[in-house]
Amino acid sequence: MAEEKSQASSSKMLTLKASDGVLFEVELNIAKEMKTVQAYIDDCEDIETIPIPNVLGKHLAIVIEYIKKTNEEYDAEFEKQWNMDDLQLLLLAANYLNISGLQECLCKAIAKRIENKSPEYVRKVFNIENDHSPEEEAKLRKEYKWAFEGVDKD
Amino acid sequence: MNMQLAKKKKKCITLPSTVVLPHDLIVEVLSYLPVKSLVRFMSVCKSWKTLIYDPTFVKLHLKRSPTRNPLFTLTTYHVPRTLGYYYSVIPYPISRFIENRSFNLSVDPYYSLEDKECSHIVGTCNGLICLSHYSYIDDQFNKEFWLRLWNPATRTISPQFGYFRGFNVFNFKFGYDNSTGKYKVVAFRYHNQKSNVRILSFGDNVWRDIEGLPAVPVHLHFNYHEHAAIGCVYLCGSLNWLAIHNINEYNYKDITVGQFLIVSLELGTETYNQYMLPRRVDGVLSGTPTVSVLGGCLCFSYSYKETDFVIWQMKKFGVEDSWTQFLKISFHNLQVECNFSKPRMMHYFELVPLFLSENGDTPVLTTIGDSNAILYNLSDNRVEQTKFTAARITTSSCSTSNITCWYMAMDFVESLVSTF
Repeated sequence: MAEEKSQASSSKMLTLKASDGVLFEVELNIAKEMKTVQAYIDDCEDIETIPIPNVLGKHLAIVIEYIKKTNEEYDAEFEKQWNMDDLQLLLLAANYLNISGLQECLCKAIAKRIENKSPEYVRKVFNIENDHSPEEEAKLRKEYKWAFEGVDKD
Repeated sequence: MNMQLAKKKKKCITLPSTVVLPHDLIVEVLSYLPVKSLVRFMSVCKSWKTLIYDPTFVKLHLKRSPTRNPLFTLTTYHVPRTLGYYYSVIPYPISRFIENRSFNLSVDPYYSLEDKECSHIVGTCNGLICLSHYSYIDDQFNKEFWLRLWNPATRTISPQFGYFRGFNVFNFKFGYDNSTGKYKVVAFRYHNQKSNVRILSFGDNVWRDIEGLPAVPVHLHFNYHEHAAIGCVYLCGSLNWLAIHNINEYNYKDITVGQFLIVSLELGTETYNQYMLPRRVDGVLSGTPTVSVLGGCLCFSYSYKETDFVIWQMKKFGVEDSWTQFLKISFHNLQVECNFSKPRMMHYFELVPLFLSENGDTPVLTTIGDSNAILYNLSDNRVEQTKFTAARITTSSCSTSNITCWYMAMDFVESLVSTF
């Protein structure tokens, strides 16, 4: 009896509903990679449609695709396709859904994109206000001149 | 279930046109950046400037190091027309070296030890390089010593510490004690069948004498080149010496593995453990075996029957059953000539494993007397020697010769660890 039950659950399909109403039918074992979804299922075994209120359909589609395909080569190609806003939104999605592999991949991807950039560029990316005084900033630039060499032009 | 939903709704963000990541996710992104970028980004805002020196962030960033670019310390020295010479130590990416073995490198003068007033490299750990200085102060052969901790990635260096004067020549090793979170330097010497061992914790800066070694450190007995890490290595919070119980039994022409052992000084408890070497090694070794670290594992290597070079790895540190043969290759295939007839010269021909490529299939080796490194690809059995020149950027018109000291190459990672 127990065997039958586990057989049934591995091919069971679940529906995930994105914030903009888009529906995704996924296999249970794919959905379980999202620990947030897993927690939902643990609480309520018979649920068929799980709401994902923080994530747009566009991004949930990408996340599901990632889980299905994930391997090293895919990771390297994966991050190249998205712009900075999408990468950050995907990171928020991966964090909310608690998918550690995807979260790491996205953090590394964002880091790679800002690695050689100027502080001004980085402030725009993360929406950060410069609260250094002009004197403080000048002091830092002078003291760490070597760290500013070879930086990409904005 | 409704409570959980409510909790999740709190995390819910209305999707803005410009994304704002929460602080903890930004910190996670930053932890994947190289040190140079992080130093530059101190200018972004005040909280980022404080973050970079925050001990929790420093630890997190260090944890990412294995997934980042593994490096090694490329050490060169140039001989100027004036007396004396200084080493330059350049953290260099292992992958870049494996891909392109023959090239010219312009050495940034920052990496010279000259302005740091240190003459030797003691060791590396967690992105710190421990340097030492010793010089003769009179014609009675009295010497003075001091140490400095250098972080070449953040370009910071500690003041001199651990100063002492004396007649005796000590060897130094550097490591990290996980239990107390302290960096320690161990000074040891061996003379007339007796050993002296002293420890200093960075921060306390006081030398303390501890119990001597329970067995004879083989390489020290023969007074081998003090810079080569062939007789003692740091690994997993301990210093490990290749040793023998009775030195009078030692006969370089007729020695078996069973006569050797590993003496391990745990930096936390400051006490010794002993480990046996692989039992499955039969037969007589030629010359003296060496210890090294490859791929994070303690390694034992030796020449077998004067024809082959063998390396064993202790896959799990401290577990004697985990010794596994890593490679066996003939000297002929390695294109190395080994002269076993002159015992005193033998250590110049001894092969020393230096570091491993990221994917673990290409060990890089050298011989002490040589200025070339040897790359041996385990998958396709290819052997290559490097053709490498390092030119120091200099404004003067002195002609300088540059020599790469391959036997001083050590595994290295970048970190934000403070030198103060």
